[in-house]
Amino acid sequence: MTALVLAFARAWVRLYTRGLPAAVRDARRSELESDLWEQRHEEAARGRRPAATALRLLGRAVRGAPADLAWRFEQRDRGAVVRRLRAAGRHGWTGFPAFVALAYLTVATGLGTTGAAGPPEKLAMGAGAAAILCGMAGLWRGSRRVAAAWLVCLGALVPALVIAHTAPLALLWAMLAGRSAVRRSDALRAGHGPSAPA
Amino acid sequence: MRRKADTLLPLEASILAAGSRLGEFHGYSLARAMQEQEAARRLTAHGTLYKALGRLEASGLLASRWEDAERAAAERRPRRRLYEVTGAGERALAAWEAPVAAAGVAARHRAPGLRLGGAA
Repeated sequence: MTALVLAFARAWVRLYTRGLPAAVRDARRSELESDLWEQRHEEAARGRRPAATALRLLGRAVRGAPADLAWRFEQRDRGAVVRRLRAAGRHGWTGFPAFVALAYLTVATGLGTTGAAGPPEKLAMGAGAAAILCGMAGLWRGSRRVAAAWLVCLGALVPALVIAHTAPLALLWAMLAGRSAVRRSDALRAGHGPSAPA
Repeated sequence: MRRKADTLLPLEASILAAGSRLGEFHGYSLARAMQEQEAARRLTAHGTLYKALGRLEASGLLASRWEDAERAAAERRPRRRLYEVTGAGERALAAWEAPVAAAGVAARHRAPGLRLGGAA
């Protein structure tokens, strides 16, 4: 049982120190190894049963797990974590208007429908896709950004209204597309985004 | 909630108090000393203990060094990381204990009659 608990404690420290700078990681692992050894031998010298010692070791490891995780977070470069999260968010937003435009184009060209969409819907979607792409291009270039953002919003809104006949849903859809397009252009202009538009 | 940078948590004060008595100590010996100091049933958890030790060292209230590898090898055990309470640590502990001590004195001054009455 003691061997299992020791294996668990060692695996846990390896897990939460993974990816940390070598000096920090090795120091924590060595320190914990020393602690495990000291407790085991001190309790054995006091005549404690190995099973009881194992349970106490396990308890210390488990009770300290939240603090271990908090410590790990403190060791990492918080700025880098936040930057990565923001970058991930930007990329997620980037894809959204492009996805909307692609979906509209697919339906407009007849590739992605079973025939339920009639000519008016196809026309609306084709126009919508064109408007979104033009708006995105305008935002990317940084010219007439307000007009370009409106173009993206309207490009997403009109086909959604035609198809869903639900104004709130269509408005939400359009706002999401417009907002993501603006964020995308901001990222590109700030020099943080990828070199090619989505 | 963030705490003030110059204030000690009860756990940190307990570490400094136990560490001051021990002189030079390692993590497990500190955990044992704290358990006895507070008559606690359990030893401080690994994560809680080492996180607090790291924080105190970063604040300059503790200093640490790794023990000589040869000595650890001779005793056939892993190397210990040895800590010591610094002068700043002693002062921080004294500052933390002062209000507690003052409160105790004030309580004794406020309630002598009560104690006398209780004794009588």
